[in-house]
Formats: sequence, structure tokens, C-alpha cells
Amino acid sequence: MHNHDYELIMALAEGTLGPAAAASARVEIDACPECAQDLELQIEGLRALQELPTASLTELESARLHRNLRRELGIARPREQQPVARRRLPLAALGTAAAVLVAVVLVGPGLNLIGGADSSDAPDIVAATAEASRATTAAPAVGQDLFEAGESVTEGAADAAAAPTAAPTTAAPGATTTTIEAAVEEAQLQAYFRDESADLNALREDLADMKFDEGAARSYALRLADDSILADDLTFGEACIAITLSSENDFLEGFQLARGRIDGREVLIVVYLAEDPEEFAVIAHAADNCEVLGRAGP
Amino acid sequence: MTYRAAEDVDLIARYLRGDLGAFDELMRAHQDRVFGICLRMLRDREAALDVTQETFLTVFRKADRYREEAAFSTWLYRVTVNTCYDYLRRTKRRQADSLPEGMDPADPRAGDPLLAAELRPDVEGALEQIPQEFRSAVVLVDLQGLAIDQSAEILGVPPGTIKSRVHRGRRLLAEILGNHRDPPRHLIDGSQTKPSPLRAADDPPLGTT
Repeated sequence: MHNHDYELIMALAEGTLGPAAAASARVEIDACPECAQDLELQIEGLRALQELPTASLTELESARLHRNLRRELGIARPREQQPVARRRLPLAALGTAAAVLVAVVLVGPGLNLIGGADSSDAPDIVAATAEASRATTAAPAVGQDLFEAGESVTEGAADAAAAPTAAPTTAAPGATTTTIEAAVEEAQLQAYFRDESADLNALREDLADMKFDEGAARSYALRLADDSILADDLTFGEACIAITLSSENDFLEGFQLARGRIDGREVLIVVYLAEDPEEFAVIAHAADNCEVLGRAGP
Repeated sequence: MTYRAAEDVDLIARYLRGDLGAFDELMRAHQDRVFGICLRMLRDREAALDVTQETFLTVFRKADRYREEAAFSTWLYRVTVNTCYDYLRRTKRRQADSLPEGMDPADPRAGDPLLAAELRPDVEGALEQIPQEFRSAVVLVDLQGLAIDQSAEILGVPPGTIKSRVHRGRRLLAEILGNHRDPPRHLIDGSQTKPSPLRAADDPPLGTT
């Protein structure tokens, strides 16, 4: 191999030569110290590259990218194209909501409560269906059993048991339907939501420190009253966000989502991120119906 | 035309007709690979996110100019690499000017295999030190698994040049990681001061391609 056939060396390093060709190349390379060193470096370089993990966007990054692009390109989101039907909640649900409101008042004197009392802006979602997404090896998140298929999402807890189970929906093939979740200790959340002086930045940092875990992710789709699907790539958490933003008509730059429990009730804690990283809000949603139980921040 | 390529052509046509579902499908099909190229080219996750967004903006805004002469993915990845180059130019990043901290061959710790292992720079850091022409070839071929021919089309050079760049890129990477010796200057800058037996016949000095 007087001319240092680098393509042959590459092929040998890649293992793409047949047995006979590889043996023949080996003989030639053994007779050429420079070639042998080159082969060693090719193998080492390839091995190093194989060590690199596959680079992929996280769910949050993906959601943010889609939103930014839609905004830049002037593309309306599916929910914006398809007005969500609205109706007042039945009295029974209002009763439940009022009870929740009282409960939150008791535990969250520092919160600016906006949920429950005025339900006129709540979209009329008659059922949610859930299905597991991505195989998960992580331990179930707190209250995962509340996220089984066929739950009512806005009719209130009292109506949930009686609500007819909707036909399961499936996400579009390849849809990114996982959410980022983490179990949050009840005592910790209680502390935050009881303490008027709770530092929002500290809460957010603590949530981040809990290492939001995609492994425990589950995906959800929401079926609307007109039988349409809210969006095939919305996670349950995003659905709560969509419901909230539908009444506020605002863009969401990103979000962080965690699960927790306040006074025995499962909650989704959503950190709403604005374009300005210094601006964010933390909202506690009821995990069974997305109801806003408490809100802190702008 | 592969199934993916045909699917992309259909999605682009649907997007241009106002089918917004096609936008989501195109994004889902390609966003991770575009981001992967950006991340390995730039090493910085935030920068990679920005450049990924810039890439898709460019592509969707110019979607009506897409011609089927090349696969959509080839066009998309070409825009990706060029946007990375633009970013690197803008930020004037230094390329392969120095070995990583602690990798000085004179460092006495380098003689101890265990301590030397601690000194071994991470692969990403080593990749960042490779000249961008080599790095882009390695990223496309070795990390993204693209064929030599498609990579050549993306980078606008002959297939032989891609092979040569991949070969030299892997070699430089191994040399930086293994601290075998200082990467030879002629491998980095393509200078003719020392004829390289590794130079492919069709690979002109870098900077002239």
C-alpha cells in the first residue's frame, strides 16, 4: 500500500469490507507503519463519535420552536383556527368549583385566585382520553392513577364519575405528545402556596432542580363538545395551558410542568414562561379538570 | 425517490396550499436531525436552538422556491449547515487554535494513564476544535448517518472530498482525544508546507472550495 489508500483504511475501520478483502487489507497495512497508525486513529475517531448521544429536542424545546415558528410565519395554532365551544358549567359543577375555591383560599392567602368563580370562559370539554406514550421506566408520578382514560375535564369532580367515557383518541403518527413532569412533594407545595412571601424564583428553581423527567410522561388528547380534538399534539398539561390562554389570548413562550398535591388534591403546577425570562407566572391547575386553583405572578 | 423524499414533496405542496398540518409533519420529520446538526456544529445548545429556528424560518419562507431537483432533506440540511456557518462567522468563533486546557503534552499528569483519563477532553469539545469543513462532513456522515453522495450534495463538493474530509476529521478527532501528538498544522489548515499523504487528490486546500 505504497500510496496510503485512505479509503481502504476507512472501510476497514468501518467494518464494511468483506472477510477476504479485510484480510488482504490487513496484510498490506501491517507492512506500512503509517497506514497502521492511520487505521488506529480512524478506529479511535469513529469510536469517539459513537460515544456521543443522539441529539434531540426536549419536549419543551420542541413546543417552543413550533410556537416561535408559527408566530414568525403567521401560522395560527389549531386552537386558534377552530374556535372552542363555550358554555357555562352546570350548577353542580359550580358548587364543586366554589368548594375548591374555598379550599384554596384557606391554603393560599398569597395567591391571586382566578379559577372557579367565573367559569364562563372555560371551554366545553366533555371528556379527555389518555394513552400512554413512550415506554417508561420511571416510577409513576404522584397521582398518576388520576390520569386514566375517559375522565371528565371540566365538568367538575362530582360530574367526573358520571361522565360518559369518550372513545379513545390517538395522536398522529410521530406526534410529540409527551410532557415534562415531576412529582412534587405535597409538603413542599403546601409551604409555597401557604407562604405569602414565597419567592417565585425560588419555587421555579426548585421545580427545575427536581429534574423534570420525560420518562414519566404520558400523553393526552382532549375531545371537545363538537367531537373535534383540541390538538393532537397537546399534552394534558398543554391542554390546561391552552384553556388558560384561550381566555387570556396570549402567547406562551414555554412552560415547565410538575405534578403535586395540595390539601390532598392532585394539581398540575405550570410555570408559564414569557419571552422575558424574568417574567413568568405559576399556576396551580386541578389535575382532574384543568381548573385554575391558584395563581401567582403576573 | 425514497418514500421519505416523496412524502416531503407532498408535505411541501400541502403546506404551500395552506395545509397547516403539513407544517407540523415536516417539522416532526426533520427537527431533531436539523437540531442535531446544529448542536454538533456549534456545541452550544441555545445557539443550536436559535439556528434551528432560523433554518426552518428560511426554509418555510422560501418553500415556494423549492424545486424537486434535490430531495427536500438535502435542501433543508444545506440551509442548516450554511446557517451554522453564518452563525460561526458572526460570532467569530475560534476554530482549532489550541488544544483544550490540561492537554498540554508537557503536563506531567499525562504520563499517568489514570490521571490522563481525567484529562481526556470530552468528545464534543474535541469535535469543536476540528475545522468546520471537516466537522460538517463528520457530523453529516458519521453522526447523522447520511450517505456520502447526499453529504456531498449538501456541502456542494465532490463525494471524494467528503470522504477525504471525513477521514481527516476522524483522524484529527482521535489525535486531539488521544493526545497522540499535536494535530499536524498541514492537516488543519491544508497548507502545502508539508505534503500530506492523507490529502485526497480532489480535495483542494480548505478555503478554496
